[in-house]
Amino acid sequence: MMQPIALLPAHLVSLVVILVLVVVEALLPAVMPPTLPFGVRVPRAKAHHPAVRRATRSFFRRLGGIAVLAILTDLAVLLVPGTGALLAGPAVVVLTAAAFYINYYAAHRTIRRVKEAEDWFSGATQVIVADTRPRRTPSLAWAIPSLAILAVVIAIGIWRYPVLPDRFPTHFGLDGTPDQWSTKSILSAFGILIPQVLLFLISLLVHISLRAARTDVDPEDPDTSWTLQSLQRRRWIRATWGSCALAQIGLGLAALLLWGMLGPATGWTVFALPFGILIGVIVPWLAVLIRPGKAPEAGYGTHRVSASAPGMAPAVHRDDDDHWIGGALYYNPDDPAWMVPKRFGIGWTLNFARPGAWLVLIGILALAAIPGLLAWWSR
Amino acid sequence: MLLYLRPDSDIPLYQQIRDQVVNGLATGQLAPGDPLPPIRQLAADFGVHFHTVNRAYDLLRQEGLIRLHRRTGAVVVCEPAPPAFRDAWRERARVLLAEAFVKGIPPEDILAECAELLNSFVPPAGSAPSTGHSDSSPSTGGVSK
Repeated sequence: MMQPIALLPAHLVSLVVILVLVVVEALLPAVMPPTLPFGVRVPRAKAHHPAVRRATRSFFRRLGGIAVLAILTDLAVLLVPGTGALLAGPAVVVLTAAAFYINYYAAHRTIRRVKEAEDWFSGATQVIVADTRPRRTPSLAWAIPSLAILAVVIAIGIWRYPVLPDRFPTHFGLDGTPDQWSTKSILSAFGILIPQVLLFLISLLVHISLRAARTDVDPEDPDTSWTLQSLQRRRWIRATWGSCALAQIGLGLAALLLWGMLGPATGWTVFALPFGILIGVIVPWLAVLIRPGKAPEAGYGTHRVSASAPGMAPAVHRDDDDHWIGGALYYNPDDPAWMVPKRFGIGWTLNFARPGAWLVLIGILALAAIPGLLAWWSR
Repeated sequence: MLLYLRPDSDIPLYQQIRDQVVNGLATGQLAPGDPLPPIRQLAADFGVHFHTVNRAYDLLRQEGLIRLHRRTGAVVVCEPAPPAFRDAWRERARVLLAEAFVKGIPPEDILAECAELLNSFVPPAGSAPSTGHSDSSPSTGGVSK
């Protein structure tokens, strides 16, 4: 029967995604700053409180259970007959992600309850710290390779357009034979460039937003927190442009394929191109994440002592749990920052009280939806 | 230099920022020519309203302690004091000393505290050490990092 064999790759994808999620969730507690266990702001003195340790152990126990359940469910869904099974794979992934979030939130809630009951912040002066040192961010020149590739592809398209046949294939089956044709028009020929342009614009937006993102300095360890975040910011911006450029190459090749410039489509090109694009997008980020920013060596600057006045209670980071909805979503209308460090994990997240943040989110979702829309529209 | 804001304090936030910059200049953590972040950047780093930082920078600019640039933020300067400065400062010092005196702190102790604080200050680069220093520490001008 055709169906189970055709479904196997789809389930492989969902299984891989689930495994990746499990690995990521297992590694995240290792990169939590001591003052931020499971997204709860605590003074450094309470970083190894028994409640924190208990919450961590429970987190891992539940993680193991969810992982086993998710993998078994995904394999079991393989046996479900009919077209419903096509959606079942992604459905299991979504449910697994939701379960992981609930796991995180349970740990978050436990620690927070103990913190409030025992008043962990009493006796300490809560402060917000900022560093006046200028920050070095990669210049916008990093956008040039992506822009150049985009310009070259557009130029080739314009040059090629008059020569395109009046009816040309726009969709290929798995073995390379065309199964859909379109009549020649500006939209049908150049529509394939829309994801490329969007990708460039979004990378630009990410660069500009990260440049202005907040550096959250920990008063109990100002140098390390500042240096690490600056390092991460630079790496992320470079990785964004690296991904963008590689994806532009892949998408550009797809455009050339559409315009018939790479010869007849074979099964190999039809399969290899999307795969190549995916690899190109992921590789720069692997390079970033594999070294999550080790503590700086001694040469980075001596450890500065907190400048609190003598006789003042020790300065700790302000208790800012209130602005984080569900321990994961940042909502603070009084904060002008668009991007702030994530509460759990490495990276940045948006300040959802800023309307612009919603635009960025919609933009990214639009980009992700475009291939699906194009496929549906060209049906 | 690290700037600290205490949101729970009675002192307004813009005043805290301004006071710390002045203090930083006095103790050598900031030197003329050092950059300060653009207003929006500092506001984002603190997570406070743009106007708070704007007001602090405005105060400092009026006092001749910083010069604002369009995009690149601000630069610390040390413009000479206007003639009215000495008298205005004296009035503020009068209130400060009166507070301690009224609470029964002996005048010798008050003076000793003042001397100790002044000794912790570092003269900014390029200016002669003020006559208030009891033991003239060598000018370490320019050292800020």
